[in-house]
Amino acid sequence: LIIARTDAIAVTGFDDAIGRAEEAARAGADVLFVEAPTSEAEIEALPRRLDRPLLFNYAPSGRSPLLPFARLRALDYAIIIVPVDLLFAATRAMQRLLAELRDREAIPRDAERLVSFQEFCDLIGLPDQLALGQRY
Amino acid sequence: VSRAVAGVLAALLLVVPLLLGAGTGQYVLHVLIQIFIWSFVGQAWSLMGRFGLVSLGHGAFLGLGAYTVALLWNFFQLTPWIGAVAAVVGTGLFAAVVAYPCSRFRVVGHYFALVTLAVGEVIRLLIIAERDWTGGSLGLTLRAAAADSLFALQFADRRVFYYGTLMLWAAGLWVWWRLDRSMARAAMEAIGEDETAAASVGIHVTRFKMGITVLSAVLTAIGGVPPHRVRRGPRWNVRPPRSDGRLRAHHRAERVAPHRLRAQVHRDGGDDLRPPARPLHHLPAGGDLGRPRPRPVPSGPDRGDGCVSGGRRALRQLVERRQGLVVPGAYDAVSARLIEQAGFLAVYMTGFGVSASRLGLPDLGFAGLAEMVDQARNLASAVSIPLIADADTGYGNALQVRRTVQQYELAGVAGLHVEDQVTPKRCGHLAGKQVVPADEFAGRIRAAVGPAPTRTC
Repeated sequence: LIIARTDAIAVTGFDDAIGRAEEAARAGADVLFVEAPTSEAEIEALPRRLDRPLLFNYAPSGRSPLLPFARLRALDYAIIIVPVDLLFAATRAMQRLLAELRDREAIPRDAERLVSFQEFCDLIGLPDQLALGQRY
Repeated sequence: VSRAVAGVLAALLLVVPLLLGAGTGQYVLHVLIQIFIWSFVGQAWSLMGRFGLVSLGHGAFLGLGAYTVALLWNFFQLTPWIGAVAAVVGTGLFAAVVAYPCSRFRVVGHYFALVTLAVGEVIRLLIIAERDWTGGSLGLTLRAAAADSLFALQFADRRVFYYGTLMLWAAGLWVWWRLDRSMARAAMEAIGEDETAAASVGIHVTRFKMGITVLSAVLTAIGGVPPHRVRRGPRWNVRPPRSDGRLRAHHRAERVAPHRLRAQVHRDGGDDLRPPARPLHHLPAGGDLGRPRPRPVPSGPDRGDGCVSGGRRALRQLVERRQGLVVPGAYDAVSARLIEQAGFLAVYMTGFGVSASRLGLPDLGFAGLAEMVDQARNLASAVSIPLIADADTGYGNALQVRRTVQQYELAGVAGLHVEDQVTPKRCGHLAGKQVVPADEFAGRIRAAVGPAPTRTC
């Protein structure tokens, strides 16, 4: 599945970006991704003017206004990627824990903040692998 | 003799879970649980059918039960025990509202069937229209409790559900038996044969018909409640009910596109439908996604040539629905797993995140093809849902893009995006971007779409 992304809005303008997306559609792209529309009007215009499934990049504090998902769905966006929030959330969690470790020389043990060893092993499939090992 | 046979059978049902071991035994247990649940629902449904009241809207009652419990749990952390009470009361009231005018004004036979059909359709459309909180046609995933819990009705051990659903089924049989021996049965049979005659001998037609409808609806709703066995990181989807009231048991592998929706609560990890000895990837809901896929799959591009690889076909289906599929971005294998575990149907590999987590560098084109492919392979191998990956500029022009697409596909990537920035690229939301001429971009896309350099299937 080929997604054609154009970054042209910030360089050559909205209309050129539309033109590039149309050309990408003609070239056979399955999904169009016009990066960083700068206004709600542009976000609305894209699905109207482009005849392919569209991808929306839900990047926090980027150049695009972040409309509610429901609105993007109503506009017929096919995919909404939420690219960096997981990384940012993990980063903050690690910062907090490290600060505590440094200042208090102790690590909290509550399930709100840390997964248990067991839970983590389950997540990465330890029980399944062990069961598999038994087989051979 | 029949009593003895029944006794033996009952004893057998009680000891079955103790005889079944791990592996295939768990699968058998899963099938038995499904049989109990759907038998119960079937019984509830047929309470009406046997008296000539044909309801095609029972999918709505099942759905109301299931969604009430699931939504109360997901949004308010309300225990399914209270949720079940709410489901019973709500569905009972709803059934009464539907049944009263039908009984009072003699909407009978085909017309009654049509009314119930419409009711089922209304509920289904409402669920789809309110997709922001019901999950729409993709259904919704129950929030997992931290551990086994009676409060949450979630247990890792399947046997708990075996006995629970066995009891439910037995209770259903008991209701049937009680009704069979009651006055109500005689009254209902008279009504079923000739309503006018029944009324003339003093049977309160409206009351009995409403009563049986509400009872049947409430029991059906209870069928939507049953306990959910939870593997950590569950995948219990509640899906919109079918409108035609057919309450068929089926397993997820036969599930199809969203326009053929079924009333369904997955009580069980579909993962167990596969031999448990294989690595357990959780199965996502819907379409081809319901089918386990061997992975990593070193196979050629799936551009209509019949090769299925990397979940491309599944992703294509998801995309063509244009339902604003939310795809969170992972930057490593663990985050990808978490995304799958949370019930999302696809994972996105962010170039920004890979550059940051792998290299500790900003998104300015430091990560090249080899590093990006390596990361994509790790992510794709860690999950069983389709992976959409950032392929930046394609790491060159048309010629390089061809190889990039091939390498990504071999890594198990289902979809990738190629952009028109000049190399080295920069994050799409940073200032100072530059783009290549439009025809050069079109060349990249033509190269990406065209056949890959080699095929392996």
